[in-house]
Amino acid sequence: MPTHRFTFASIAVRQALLSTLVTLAAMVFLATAASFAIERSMRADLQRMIDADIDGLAEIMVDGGPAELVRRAIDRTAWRPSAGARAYYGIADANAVRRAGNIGVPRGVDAGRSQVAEISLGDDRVLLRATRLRGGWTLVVGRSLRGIEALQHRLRVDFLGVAVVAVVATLIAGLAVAARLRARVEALSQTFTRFERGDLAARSSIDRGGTAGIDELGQLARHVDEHFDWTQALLIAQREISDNIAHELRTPLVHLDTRLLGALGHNHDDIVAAELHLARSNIRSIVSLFDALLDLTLAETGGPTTDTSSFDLSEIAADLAELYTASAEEAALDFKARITPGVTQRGEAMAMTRLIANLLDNAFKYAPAGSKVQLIVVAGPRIIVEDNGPGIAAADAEHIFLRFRRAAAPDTGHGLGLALVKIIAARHGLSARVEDAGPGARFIIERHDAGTKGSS
Amino acid sequence: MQILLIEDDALTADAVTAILAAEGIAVEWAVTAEIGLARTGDTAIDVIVVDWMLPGMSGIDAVARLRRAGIEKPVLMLSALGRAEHRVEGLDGGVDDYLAKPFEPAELVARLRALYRRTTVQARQPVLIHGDIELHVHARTALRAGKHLGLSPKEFELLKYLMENAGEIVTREMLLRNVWKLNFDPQTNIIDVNLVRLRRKLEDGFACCCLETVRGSGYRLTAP
Repeated sequence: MPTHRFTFASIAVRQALLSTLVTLAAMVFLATAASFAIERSMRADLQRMIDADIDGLAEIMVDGGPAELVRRAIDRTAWRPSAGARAYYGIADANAVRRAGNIGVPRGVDAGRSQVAEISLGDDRVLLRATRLRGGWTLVVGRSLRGIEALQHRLRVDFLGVAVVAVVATLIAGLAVAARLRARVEALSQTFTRFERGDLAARSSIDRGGTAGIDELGQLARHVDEHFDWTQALLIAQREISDNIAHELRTPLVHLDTRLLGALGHNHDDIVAAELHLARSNIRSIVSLFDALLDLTLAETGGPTTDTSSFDLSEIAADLAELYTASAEEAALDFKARITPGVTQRGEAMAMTRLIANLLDNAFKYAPAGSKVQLIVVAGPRIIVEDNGPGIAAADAEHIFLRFRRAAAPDTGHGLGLALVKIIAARHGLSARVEDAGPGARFIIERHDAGTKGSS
Repeated sequence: MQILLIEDDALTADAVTAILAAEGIAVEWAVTAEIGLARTGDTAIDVIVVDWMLPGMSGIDAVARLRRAGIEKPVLMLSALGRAEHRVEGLDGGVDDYLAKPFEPAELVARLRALYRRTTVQARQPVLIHGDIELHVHARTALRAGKHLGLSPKEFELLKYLMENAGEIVTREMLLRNVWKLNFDPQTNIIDVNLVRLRRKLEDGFACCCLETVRGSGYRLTAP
């Protein structure tokens, strides 16, 4: 089972990064909202100050006339506040001649409508209002926006600092939680791996969340352990039942065989002896069939092989090829082996030996004298046993790997060999199929995805 | 040779005793693993035959205890559990050989003799000699009457095993397990034809035979 490294592939790490991003987004949103709110509020304050100033100067114009207005405007222009927004004043007479102040009437600003505008003045930004006074005079009052900008800048810096601290804290906390979560999931995963590899006593020893396993992983671990307890009990029961059945079935057969042996010892009649030998042979056949069925059933229910050791498939195939060469000569078969050296496979070496032996047995059994039989093993792995014998009828091809199915020819065997081939192949992640070799049959064992990937 | 038989089934025990007695092999019978274990220290015992499924302690547990106690006497497991998986488990569990019931009397005798010989004969001799056949283990060459026999690596192993058990019956299953390292029986007659091939190489050009087929049992390398 693949182990999740501490990378983006880990759900826990992704969760931690997502939390950090959400925190960052929240901080940005908060800073932006605060900045807008403060700017709006301060602008409103500035606007009120400007309007109050205009109101006061308009009254001065009424009470003291233009001279007083000019004097007051000069005073106010000269006054520079130590804090707060710098003030701008401008007074122009009815002929639009500037009479006092540090600002003129900006173009495009309609004093007749007491229009508000925002302009650039040197390196300053100014919010102002121009208004028409008695006698056609024009009064402009403005306030610098620099204070708002400075406050916004300070706010951004402060928010950035807070955001950095919050994001780092969230990330550290998230990764710490992710590490703990990952460790617990990893422990659970390792428990599965150990159990799958045959350690039936493997149980999740993970931290159950500190409060008697009430968190989700703790509950999952408890369920896993309960499931393993149940599976272990089933596997032990299955083994005991199959062993007991084997023992209880074989024992009377052994007794029967012993009595037949005893009878043979006392018998002097050749015909009776032949019958007794035949009876003993029948007993062996029953036992052999029973063992083959048990092998098949237990292999079928065993799931994928738990043995992950690597072995040299080529070496196994070469040994079997040598073993079967003599049989081929005896049966007048033209047997050839084409084995790529160094082809390896993970799993049970003896089971794969049996798979190849069963395929060769099958070919040798059905190919008539003079036929060609070929064993091919190439990388992949891909195992092919083909012959140019009678082949398999199309109608039988799809059932050939079922138990007790065999071509209507020899009377040897139980018809379980190819069924076992398919099960052993499946346990090693391989598929088994047969195709027409035109003439003859071609049995192919290869990876399930070999057809789609074009692997050989 | 003296055998300690640990077997709870009286009929099987009687049959084994009778088969071995006919071959001049003495048998001491223990009905449980506990009783058998108490007798394993007896120096007169050469080979132990133990059943797997026994009342109380199982045969496989008894062998484990035996090995833990440092007793290295050869053990043959004689069991009704005959699947390849059981053979592997038995051999991994410390037994030296495994024979499933029902068995051929000749096979039982052959296996016991092979186990007994393993304890008494120098199995790692560099040169094995049987009559006019010589087998040089390190050089991996075989000669008959000084004439080189062109054997394949497997044929060499086959002849070596036969020579190590010269004069005794060697069964097909013994050959499958010890020469070809297979713990299952292929359905075809591959052992017989390989023996025929070896016999041809051993006997071609010589007047006398040396590899005898024991009908229904196996093969025996006889004095040439």
